[in-house]
Amino acid sequence: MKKLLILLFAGLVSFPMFATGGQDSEARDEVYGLSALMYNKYELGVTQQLENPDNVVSPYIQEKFGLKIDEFQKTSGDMTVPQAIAMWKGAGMVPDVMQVGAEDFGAMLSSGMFAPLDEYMEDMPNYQKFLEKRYWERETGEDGKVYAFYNLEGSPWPKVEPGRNDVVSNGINHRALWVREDVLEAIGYEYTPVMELKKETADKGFRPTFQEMAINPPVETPEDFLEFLRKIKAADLKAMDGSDMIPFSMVWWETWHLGIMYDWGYWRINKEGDVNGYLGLPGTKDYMKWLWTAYSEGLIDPDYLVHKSVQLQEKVATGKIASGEYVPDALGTFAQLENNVPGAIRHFIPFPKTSPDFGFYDPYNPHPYTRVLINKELPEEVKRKIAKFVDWTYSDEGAEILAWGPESAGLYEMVEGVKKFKDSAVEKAVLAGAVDGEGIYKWGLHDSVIGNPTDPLAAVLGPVKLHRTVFHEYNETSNYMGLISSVVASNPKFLGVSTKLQVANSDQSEVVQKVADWYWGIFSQTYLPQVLTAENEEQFEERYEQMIDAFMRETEYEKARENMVKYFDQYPPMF
Amino acid sequence: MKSKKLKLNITDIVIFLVMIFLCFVTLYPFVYAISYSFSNGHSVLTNPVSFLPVDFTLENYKAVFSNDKIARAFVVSVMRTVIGLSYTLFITGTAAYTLSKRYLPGNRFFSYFFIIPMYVSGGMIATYVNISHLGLMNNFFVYIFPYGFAAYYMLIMRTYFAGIPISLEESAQLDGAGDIRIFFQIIAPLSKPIFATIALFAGVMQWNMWFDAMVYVPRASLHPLQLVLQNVLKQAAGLANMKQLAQSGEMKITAEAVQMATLVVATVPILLIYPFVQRYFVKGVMIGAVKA
Amino acid sequence: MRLPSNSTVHLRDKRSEKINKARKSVGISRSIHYKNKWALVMKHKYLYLLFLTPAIITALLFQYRPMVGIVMAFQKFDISAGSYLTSPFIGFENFKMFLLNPRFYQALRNTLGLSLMSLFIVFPLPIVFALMLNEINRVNFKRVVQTITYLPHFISWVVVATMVYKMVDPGSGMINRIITSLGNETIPFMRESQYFWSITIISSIWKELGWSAIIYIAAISSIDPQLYEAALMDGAGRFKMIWYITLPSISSTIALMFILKVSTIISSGGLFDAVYNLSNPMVNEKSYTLEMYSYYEGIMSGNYSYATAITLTQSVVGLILVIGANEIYKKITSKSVF
Repeated sequence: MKKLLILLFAGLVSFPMFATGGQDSEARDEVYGLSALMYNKYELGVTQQLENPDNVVSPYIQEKFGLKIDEFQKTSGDMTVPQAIAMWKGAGMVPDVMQVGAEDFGAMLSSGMFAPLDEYMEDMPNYQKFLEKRYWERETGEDGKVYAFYNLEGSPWPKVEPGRNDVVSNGINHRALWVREDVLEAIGYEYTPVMELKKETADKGFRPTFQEMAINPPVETPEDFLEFLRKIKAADLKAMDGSDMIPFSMVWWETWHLGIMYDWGYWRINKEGDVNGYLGLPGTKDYMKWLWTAYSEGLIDPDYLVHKSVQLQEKVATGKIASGEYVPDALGTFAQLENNVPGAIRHFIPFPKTSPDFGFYDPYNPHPYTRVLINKELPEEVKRKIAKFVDWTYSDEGAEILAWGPESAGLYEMVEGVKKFKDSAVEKAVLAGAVDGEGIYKWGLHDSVIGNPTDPLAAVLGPVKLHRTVFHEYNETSNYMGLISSVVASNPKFLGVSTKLQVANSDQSEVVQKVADWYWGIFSQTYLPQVLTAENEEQFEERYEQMIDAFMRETEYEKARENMVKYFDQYPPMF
Repeated sequence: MKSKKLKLNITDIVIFLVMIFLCFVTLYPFVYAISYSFSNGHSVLTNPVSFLPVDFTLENYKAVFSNDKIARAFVVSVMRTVIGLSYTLFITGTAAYTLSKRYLPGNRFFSYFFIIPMYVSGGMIATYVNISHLGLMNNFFVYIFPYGFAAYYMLIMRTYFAGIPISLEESAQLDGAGDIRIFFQIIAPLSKPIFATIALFAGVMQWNMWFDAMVYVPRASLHPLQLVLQNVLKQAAGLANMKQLAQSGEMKITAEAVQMATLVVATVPILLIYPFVQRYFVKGVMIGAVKA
Repeated sequence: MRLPSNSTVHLRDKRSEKINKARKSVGISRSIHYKNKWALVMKHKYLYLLFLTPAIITALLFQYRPMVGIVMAFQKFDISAGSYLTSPFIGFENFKMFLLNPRFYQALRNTLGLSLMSLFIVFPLPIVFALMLNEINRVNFKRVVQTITYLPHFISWVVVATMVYKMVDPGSGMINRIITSLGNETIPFMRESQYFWSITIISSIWKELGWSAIIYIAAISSIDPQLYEAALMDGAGRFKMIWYITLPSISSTIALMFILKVSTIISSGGLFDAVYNLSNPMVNEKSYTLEMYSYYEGIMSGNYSYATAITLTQSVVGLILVIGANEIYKKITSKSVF
């Protein structure tokens, strides 16, 4: 008992130290400390280091703009951002700046906590250079005002050769369709091996074209694809441990992306003026039928809805999968595979399509995914400073500082008229991107691989994946896989990325959001497995009808559709 | 005590075998996790871990400890565990003793009063707002005060206190001792097993808790170890993705492997504590008490 | 054979019986009775003031104060409204919604199935384990076993679930390799819902057996050894001693734990983490419990009021269960857990 009391006393005595958090330095009066939320839905970000003594960029920014980040507020993985907003609102603790993804934007707007930014945008020439009205005007609030600074994307590939039909992209996109070259071999398809291609293209600094990557006979339609998978199955190939090879496998959520083949995906308006979205799209039944056929014939991994990501990795690495889509940690996994099975090299092929205009419909870059909202309670002064800062990150001067650090920090020197980092550790970090505690985050410099700023303030407010070429000469990724997968990934035709503004995530209304929620929650958990495991065509029809029925009823689909019709009226596509 | 003869009968053998089986089955996941944590995450894809590490490496632990916040977070965790469990033990234990006396007026009322919140709660949003209104945001004591009373522990302790023969209290009362003295001088020494148990429960709860820190304590310097480790895990997932973009060949870590290393780091301190706790689960704690 | 002396525990009803009888026989009026009650309070005033009050304050501040959030169950949560206090009131609409949804009944059935299995299978095992442990004489062996068996409690369900998946994998999993080596077909455990409950229960036992036993071990350790000595003199064997001494001595602990467990019938026996991590769409038919339902159709759909309504219903039912179970316990044994 006495011991406990002593401990309690000790705790009380040390309370001051903990209550004030000890190490936090006192902010100068002129520097305004912001609380921030950083988009972390898929938890891919590195936790920002706020108290990093080696960060050369933050002091410069504080000096010039009088701004810094005081703390990051977090949501947990299970909490949705709107839920967090509700909490914070009730407690009066909404962060000053919030970087969120497109899917949460609607909820943010309707909370009424954020400031319209139109007046500030007028004085942001650099930002405007990268922004296009026709993109941001589609996401204005009900009053027609702009409520976010976008984290604009868009990075030209290092050496774009005219005529090689490249479209801007941003590195490795794993949603490309791949098949193993040894499998192609086994089923008698013609192709140019990737390693040969590499010598002629990637090694010389540019990407191959689609023609160069083509296989023969081509897999152009979903029916072709079924045939293709059937041939693989018929070839009776084996994995490392002697078990049967599975023609195709993926992760459960890739069901969404595989629908690229059909008229399926987000809300879209087509040339006939027809507006539909999610399970209301006409391609839904065809796609479900295709999936069901492939599933019942054993062409798709029967465990694809079941297995954990790491299990998929294991299957791929041990040669069990012949073709697939997204694989977590693809580079590492395939490195293992190549080790284990000589000749098992990834060869990318374009997604089959029923029509080149169809399917999945990712809204196109530079219509960006993340954007930043500014709390309307902030003082006018501060909001202005934030706008100035954002603008600066898009300027040449800003790009320089974010990439190399201020001259006064002395991280680089001029060698024969070209900038070069003095310290090889810094150089290595820049080349490697954001890796380990020694990574580029330490100095707050620009991550040349992904293309993001690493200084906390710039990371929240600034551009993403922008101007890698501008920033560094150090941006050659010699990883041929990256180059090659980006060929497929970058082409809108391949990946169903719509460049004609015929697609939208939502109009920020609740009833439209509900449709998306239903797909990801109830459909994915309950109805999809039922449809997939139907034992015959009759049962398939039955279950499909049940599913569509529930969908239409529970989501008020017609109302949502009407909203989107109005939306596309207001923001017509550019056919 | 039971017979000291070394008589081995069937029951003993069965018990022994069952225990060995249980030990193996429950230990194996740990052995697996430890081996995995020392393995190259990529090699493991091809050669799954059985008992020993595959391609021994310290990279996963490096990833865990590369976060320089670990040291401070460890201190925060220790402080919250020790202070938290003492605080909880005190408040809950004293209340439990009071409520163990059924004849006291209000006993039934207070029983229900304390038990209802076990089942009914206002939800995450209301709880958050409440904490904020109480001024506990970004404050170390948000780890302590809300946990001061736990009905579940109270019920367990009350059952135990009620089991202490009332004759002990009665004789002390005759000697003129007041309630408080009786509790500290008579009841408490006899209650070592239950105090140790609740201390263990409350301590483990405090040690493993990270959600409250994530939501209520944005300030990084007050983060407990578990939260920092959670961040390491997320980071590892992100790193695994980012490493793909980088050409650096040293791709030894995977999110899985780092997760295992995290698990080991988070659990080892607790394991070291348990032997101390076991001391209190000794038979015959009541010997001599009745006689005295 | 003497019964343990803690049978003097169950005082409340006997005592108040006595008091009432005493009142009647002496003809004491009500006001004097209450004066006596107050005198009792004053006699023990320090208990009330110093021992009980901190707990009351804590409960009021941290548990009762947020309860106002329950109103959300009766509202349509609207994020643009100032806070949850001003969202539009829709009465019992949320409750109607789930009572009319067929998936709710699927969820209810799964919840009950899992929690009943948990109650009748998972509940007794730690007790048996504690009893067996008690029979071991070698202290060191006992300590080692205790330490090892409680380790899995510290592994999170996220990790345990992955381990389970790997173990039962149709291709590379250990279980199936054993099955095929015995000449049978592989069983895709995680793909077919019929196995889900068993797998969840078994994993749960694996994870929590050692830890759950701690409370019983502690209770057993406070039994007066003299009871056993006396029994030995009477010529009792091991099983008689367990039946007549050990079990009755820890009966109030067992009763407490059982009643608390009964109250989790409506919340899947406390298995949410397990179910959430172990489930996948293919076994949805058996894995969709009330908590999963609330999570997917409430929270993930941005429908927080709906989720609150479901949770509130579970809370109320849980409370009724625990009080009801206690009443039954009182009737049978005239003891009470509270």
